[in-house]
Amino acid sequence: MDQGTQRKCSPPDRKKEIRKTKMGGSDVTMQQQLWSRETVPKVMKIISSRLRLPQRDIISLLLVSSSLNRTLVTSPSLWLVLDFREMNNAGDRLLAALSLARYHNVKQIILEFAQGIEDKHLGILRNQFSGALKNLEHLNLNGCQKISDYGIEAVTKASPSLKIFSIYWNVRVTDVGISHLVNNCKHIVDLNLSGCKGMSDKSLKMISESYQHLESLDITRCIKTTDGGLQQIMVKCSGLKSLNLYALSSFTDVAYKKLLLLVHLRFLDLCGAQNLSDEGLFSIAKCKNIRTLNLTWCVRVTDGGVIAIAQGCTSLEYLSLFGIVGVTDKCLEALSKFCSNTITTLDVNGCIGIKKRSREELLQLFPYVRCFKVHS
Amino acid sequence: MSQTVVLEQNAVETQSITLKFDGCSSDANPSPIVNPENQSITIKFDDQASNHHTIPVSIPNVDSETEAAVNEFLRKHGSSDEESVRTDAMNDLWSFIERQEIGTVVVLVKFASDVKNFELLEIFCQRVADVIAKKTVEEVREIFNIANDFTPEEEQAIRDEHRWAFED
Repeated sequence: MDQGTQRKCSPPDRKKEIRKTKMGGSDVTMQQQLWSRETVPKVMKIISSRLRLPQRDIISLLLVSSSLNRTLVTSPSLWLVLDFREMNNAGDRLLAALSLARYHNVKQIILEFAQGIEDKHLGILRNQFSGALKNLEHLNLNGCQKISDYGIEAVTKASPSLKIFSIYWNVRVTDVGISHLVNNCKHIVDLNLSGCKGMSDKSLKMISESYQHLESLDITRCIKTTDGGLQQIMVKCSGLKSLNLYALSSFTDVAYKKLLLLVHLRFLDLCGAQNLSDEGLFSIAKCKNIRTLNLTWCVRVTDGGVIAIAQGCTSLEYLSLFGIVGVTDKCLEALSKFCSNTITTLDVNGCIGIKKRSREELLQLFPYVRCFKVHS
Repeated sequence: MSQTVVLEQNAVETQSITLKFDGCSSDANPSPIVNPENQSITIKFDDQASNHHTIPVSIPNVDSETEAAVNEFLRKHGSSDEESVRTDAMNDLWSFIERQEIGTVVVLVKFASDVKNFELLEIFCQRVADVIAKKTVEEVREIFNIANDFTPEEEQAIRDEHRWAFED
């Protein structure tokens, strides 16, 4: 739903709404037929091509009347997304949906936290429906914990056009699964492997060699990775705009210093980077386009590093220094001097070295801040 | 603000074309641009006098109160570049639309689509989408006054074909 319209909308009382919105007149006249068979279907077609209607509502509309059905079935934009998030029997549901020809140009499949999606379903998909996924660009397998390397091989084989792949919190998939991804899908620009503890530097090497145009990478909690693998990413994936290294405490400045190669970086999450020092921050300061920087628990950081960030990242909007005891009011002054126009989120909770960190004091330095706490 | 008139030639031959404008007068000299592909002629007027002036539109098949509310939106929305003014205009129109019969909103969607006004279209489409949300098939028929022309067998067949879309 487009949130551009800032309106207040209270949830309607069902029966009341039906009474209120029900149209006047009940005899079946020519006008009524025109209304039923042409006007309403035309309008529903317009609406469904402008807004992304919930899947359930679209299917309900198919059942309303034959004219509505005919009109919508021939409206291609309606059949580009299959959404089974949090549904049970998701594997069977997916196969049933794909048996309908109108879904054979599907661009996005969402199975986030769905239950009942297993390797065997992806195998059937590859064997029987591979033509249906030729245009698939976005596959969300977040929380699909039963999928293993075998399932990854099957689904990626059927999806050569894949651009966005997300498999958050799956501990079964290993470097082998990633090798299938890079062999079968040459166009990945957005890769989310958050929580996939089976990944190692081998995966990072393959990713860096295959996806030089990668824009977004999330390897939160991929604890087997080390400086070696991370450096490969920084050297080869120079188009990266978003890099999430949340809860990865074994990287060091050896890798962090290469962050200056990522000149397009806008989002960098280093929460828990306990080895990151000011040296690393001097490099990060060269990424002029950074908007979001999370330094929560980066306990070795001091004023010097933050001041460098202030001077270098002048478009900074979001900064967390949560838990860093080595920074003082000095760094806030620098941030205020260079970034006060853009900073809207600033978390300095637990920064006991900063004396003036009440809400009022922070607003003096950063008049546009709306959010004072990001880490709980 | 410039006003643009597009004339499209249809199959019927025309000997003469008459232009009529309501509202503002213009001293500017129009220079026509002909598009050979669709045989349309575009004439642009630059009229500084009409900067904060929107010609009221007439909307077929709605009552005068609705027409007035839409025109008020167009006037207010077009009168300022300030976001707060435009948001107020949208909120006012939204509140008004929420109180109208859904049949009126359906007509308004078509109107907005025909005149290609995308701000109006967004509001009207969203209202209809909100009304449809989570309703049963029977409820949608009742609200929009649509006759069910499926046979029971046809309807069941489509339901069976789409069982995957509904929660157990």
